[in-house]
Amino acid sequence: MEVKQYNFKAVDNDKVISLLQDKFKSVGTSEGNFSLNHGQIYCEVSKETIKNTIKMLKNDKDLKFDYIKCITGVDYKEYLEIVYSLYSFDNNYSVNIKVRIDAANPDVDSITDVFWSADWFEREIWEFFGINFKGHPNLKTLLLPGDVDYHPLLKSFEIKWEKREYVRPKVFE
Amino acid sequence: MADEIKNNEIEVDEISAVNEPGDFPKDYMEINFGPHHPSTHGVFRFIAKLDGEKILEVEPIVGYLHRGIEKIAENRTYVQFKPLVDRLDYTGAMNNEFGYCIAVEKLMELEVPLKAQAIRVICAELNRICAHEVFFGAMGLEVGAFTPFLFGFKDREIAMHLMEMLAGGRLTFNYFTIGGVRQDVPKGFYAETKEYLKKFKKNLAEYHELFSGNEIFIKRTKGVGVITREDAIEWSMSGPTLRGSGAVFDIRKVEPYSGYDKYDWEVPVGKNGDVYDRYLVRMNEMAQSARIIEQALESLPEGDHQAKVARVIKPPAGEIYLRVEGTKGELGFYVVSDGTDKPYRMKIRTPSFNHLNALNYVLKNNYIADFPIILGSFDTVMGSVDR
Repeated sequence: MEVKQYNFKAVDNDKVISLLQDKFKSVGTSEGNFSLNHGQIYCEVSKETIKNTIKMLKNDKDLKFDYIKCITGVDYKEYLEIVYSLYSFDNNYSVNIKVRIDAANPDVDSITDVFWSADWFEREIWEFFGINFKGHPNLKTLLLPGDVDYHPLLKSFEIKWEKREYVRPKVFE
Repeated sequence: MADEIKNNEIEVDEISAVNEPGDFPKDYMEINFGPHHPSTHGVFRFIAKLDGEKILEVEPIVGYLHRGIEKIAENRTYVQFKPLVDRLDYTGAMNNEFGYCIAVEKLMELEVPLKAQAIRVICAELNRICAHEVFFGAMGLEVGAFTPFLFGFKDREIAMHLMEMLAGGRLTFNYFTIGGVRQDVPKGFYAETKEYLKKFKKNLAEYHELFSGNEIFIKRTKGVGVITREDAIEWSMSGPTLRGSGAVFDIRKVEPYSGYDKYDWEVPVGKNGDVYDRYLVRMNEMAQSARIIEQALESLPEGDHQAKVARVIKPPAGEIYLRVEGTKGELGFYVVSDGTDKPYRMKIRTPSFNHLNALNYVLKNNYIADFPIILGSFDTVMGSVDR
């Protein structure tokens, strides 16, 4: 194995956005709405094309988004959202891909066969937001106990301050 | 009685007829490991399928330390939530606070005074030395050497005393504030830090002499738990684990924050991606941390230790994903603000979470006796996995 030095140069965000727009057109996935927020690129794509989009971003020779920084869900009450934060080691590009998901019928294609590391990220979102990842091989609870029937990070889930009485085991009496 | 013997004979005959000589029927064993096992670094459990002593498959089970920190964040103000960030990776609490404060500051577009930035860097690097010294001690225990544990913890104690001078706490500091640090450094801190670094450099050379060149240690760790660079990236590994696999990549260099680009230091890397390389990367990182602290102490700017911040912190609506180099790897905060004093959503991306995700891949075809050193080389902290 040889040691590889990566590119530490600063990146012009506008250039990356125009490059991404070109690639989106050429592949035929949804074009996406681009926005800049605190110097980071956000891009919204439709639910149907998310898997192809991420596959394209990973395999494209000019982009090479080969690293998942983070996948997370957000509950905006009317709809849910998944944010895929990707990073390209070779080019030092970063992009955040957003997908809107219907809150009544939450499901989206799994990207576990594109990125290995998506496995636990998706499991976590599944148990905390109730979003079903179609095609995920091992969808079961990760951090919560196995018998929970709620999704704690939904805004409809409230933390209740319950008073629980301690029942002294009979063994000690 | 006679019938029974006959039956046994028939069974033996059948087995010998089916199998070729040397081709024994495979019998796998499933064992449970943890959650209360000392070599799992916390409450981590896994179920392993073994063929003899070889691991065929591992199923990691986490969540024993889940405290719902992300949900709590949505019900606390930005200031109230900050002490909880310390509890994620409790060996590197300053680095956790660093990430959180920088994320909120960038959301507010707040400028931190130069002096506060330098103090933050000193704290973060001191804490990195502490965390790696825990790793050094634990690594020794993993291979059956007790002395590194005592040496590492003795040295760590002095560094913790230095941070106690600043914050009053030894492990969870709550020292950083949004906009700077809680209080100015006390008298004598700089002098004591300089003295500590002198001693530390001597000690580090001693550690290398004592442990890094030890033949038993090298034979146990070289060529064990190899991860290639491509696979490490595919598994979203970061920090010393990724650098051990030969990637010259450090977030302090790539996306410099808090003036890390002003200091002159190198990124230590490994070549083979095995346990020994990950160990060496961490040991060399301690030397680099000492280098950064020395430079920060020399060029300490004058000024305030805190920016002027409103009493109630209300970042404008927006979102940000900000990552810093934690002690174990990439520590990211995805903060969504809706303009109120509480975060709308707070996702904490921790490095250990991804390292455990890859555990099945890394442990496959290794021996069960090598499990503690491979897991130890990731330096996982369950507090940051379970959140």
